[in-house]
Amino acid sequence: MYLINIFNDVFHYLSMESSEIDSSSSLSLLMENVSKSYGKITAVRDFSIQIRDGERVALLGENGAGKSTTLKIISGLMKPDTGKVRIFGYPPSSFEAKRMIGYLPEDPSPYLNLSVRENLEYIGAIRETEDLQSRIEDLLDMLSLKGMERQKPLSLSRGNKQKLCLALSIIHHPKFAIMDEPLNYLDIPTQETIFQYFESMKSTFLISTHILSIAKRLTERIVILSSGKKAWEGTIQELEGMEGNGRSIESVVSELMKNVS
Amino acid sequence: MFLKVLKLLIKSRFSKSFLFIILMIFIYSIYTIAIGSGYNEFSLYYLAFIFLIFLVSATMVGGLSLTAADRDFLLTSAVRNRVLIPAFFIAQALASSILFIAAASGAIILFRGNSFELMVGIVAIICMAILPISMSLNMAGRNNYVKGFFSAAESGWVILSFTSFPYGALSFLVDGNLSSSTILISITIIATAVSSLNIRAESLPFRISSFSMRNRTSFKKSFTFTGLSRDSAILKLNFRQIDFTSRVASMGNIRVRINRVGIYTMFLIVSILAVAFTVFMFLYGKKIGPSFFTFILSAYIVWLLSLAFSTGTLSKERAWLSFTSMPVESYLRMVMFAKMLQTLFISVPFALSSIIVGIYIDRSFIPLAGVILMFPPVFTGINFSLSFIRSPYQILQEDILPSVYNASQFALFPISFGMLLILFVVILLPVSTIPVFAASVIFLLFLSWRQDYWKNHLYSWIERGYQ
Repeated sequence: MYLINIFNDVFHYLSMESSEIDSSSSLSLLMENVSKSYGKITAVRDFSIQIRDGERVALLGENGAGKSTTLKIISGLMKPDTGKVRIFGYPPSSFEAKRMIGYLPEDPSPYLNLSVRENLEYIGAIRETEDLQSRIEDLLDMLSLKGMERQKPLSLSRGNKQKLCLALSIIHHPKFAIMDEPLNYLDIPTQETIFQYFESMKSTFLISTHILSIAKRLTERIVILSSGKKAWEGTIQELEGMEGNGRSIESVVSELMKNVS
Repeated sequence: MFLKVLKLLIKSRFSKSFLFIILMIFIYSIYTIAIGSGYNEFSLYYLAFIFLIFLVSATMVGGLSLTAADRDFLLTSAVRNRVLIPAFFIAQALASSILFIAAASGAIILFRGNSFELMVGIVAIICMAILPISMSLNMAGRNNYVKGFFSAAESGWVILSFTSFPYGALSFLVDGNLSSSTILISITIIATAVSSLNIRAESLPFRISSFSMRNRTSFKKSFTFTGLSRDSAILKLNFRQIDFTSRVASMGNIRVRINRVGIYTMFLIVSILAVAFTVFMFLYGKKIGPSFFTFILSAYIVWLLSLAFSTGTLSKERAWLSFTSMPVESYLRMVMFAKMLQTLFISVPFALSSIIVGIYIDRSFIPLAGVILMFPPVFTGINFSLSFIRSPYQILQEDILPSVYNASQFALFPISFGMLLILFVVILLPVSTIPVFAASVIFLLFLSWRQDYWKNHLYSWIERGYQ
């Protein structure tokens, strides 16, 4: 009886996890004064951002600027040291927030012991995807993974593994796609397919990338991170307006990244 | 949903290799018990040894088995913690318990004569299987001092069973007073309840991020290589540092962590163990009988040293850095040679301990010093060569390696069987040490000096998924 009581207490406690709901929010993402440190290294410093429903935002930054850490915090994999994060008004680690996000980490790993199709079926089932079989067929077709369904990820090329992970991250039609370098390792035809597919999606996008052309093509707003701080925020047109006098857009971005104290 | 998640966890972890491992451990258990059955109380010592290894390794390196895929796709899915946590717990409990029960099965068979004893034995073994899992869940994320304290307490609790203390972990099996088994059962229940509360207290994704952070622990002592020749640099690095993987020790929890330890730190630890063994033999050696310890000590020192000093060696190897800088075979042979020297160095304290015990307690311990000095280095070389053949788990991913139960760490079981047999021959007839040693050296040379041996296996690694 004592053990049963303990487990009841445990389950009751766990079911209360999403009590901090800010349901008045209509934003896809709200981050206020978020900071995160790894020991003595501060990865994200006092970072704030708001993303409206359906908006597409690119996160640019040098290596180690804190882009991936920011995405991990948003996707509920990492707890910020300070600050507030809400996904559609819910805390990122809540059940409700996770129903709406599709997260693709940098260098993701599928289940190595399951075949391509098994990976899609299991993650699709766990994410309660509607009409799963036809969704899997569509994704396999779109990403040219037909014929590799029975293969295990270990036998796939890096590019095909990335395609599989991309499919896993969007299989449930997420309302908010959080993508860390989504086009890594992909060939040009597949990149084009992905561009078109993302353009057709009505979801909110937050894409971390090093490549300006991806930001330009897929997003409307750009946030530049440097040393964990927001260095600049604006539209791609505003960024292009800073070009000229012999300065390319890359030079402009590079200077913006360096101008953070 | 609970069943879906549990099915995913089981399917993504229980490979054919894992079933093969269980079979091998079962055979090993029966084999060891069959060989040792002629010795007084052998099965009890064997059970205590297995329990101790599982308990201490679970406390030090255990925890939930979480893969990179779990982190990337399962933990970012909308699954409630009340579903996720029991599923992880049950998958872990299944994997670890099956391994433990397979390892302990030889001892269960010895209880079969008396049905009451058999029942108590089975209950005890189930408790002994669950307790390490609970301890690992309680200890995951704690600092090393806390883990060290608990490991020492657990070791003391098991060892006290063999003294007049009535509440040792296995006292009821030693003295036949079955009522004392309630202590083990109670502690198992308490540890399980506390571990359930502990998992509840911290959400799983955040625990994973803390695991990832700990994987980045830097090695405090750095080396300088300037002025050294290529071979000397390889020799220095691979002699001075030991890369342990938790893969071997973590009883089914194959979330691999690689710990880098300096050779002198390890020498100090082994010296302390050797002194403790010497003191123990002075106190109890004559009472227990030297034959059992001769067997158990020599067998496990040779096996564990050779396994421990070779499995982690290639864990952080980057083929494109080292193997493209010089001929593959030259590089790997030099690494192997360094590891053999390392094992020889580490074997010295136990060899000295055997000589001291041999002089003062029993003469039969003196030849053991030779066995301890000669065999571990050669078996390290053989283990290193064989591990290179096996699955390329070492170079798949650096931060969180796939938690698939792979047969690679058990590649040496067949060799271990042979080794145990050989050591019995050595114990019974010390003069056979030299021919057996010579045969091992020839086997090692056959394995590692064949033309294109290393190169072919490197290509095989690359074809099978090097990234």
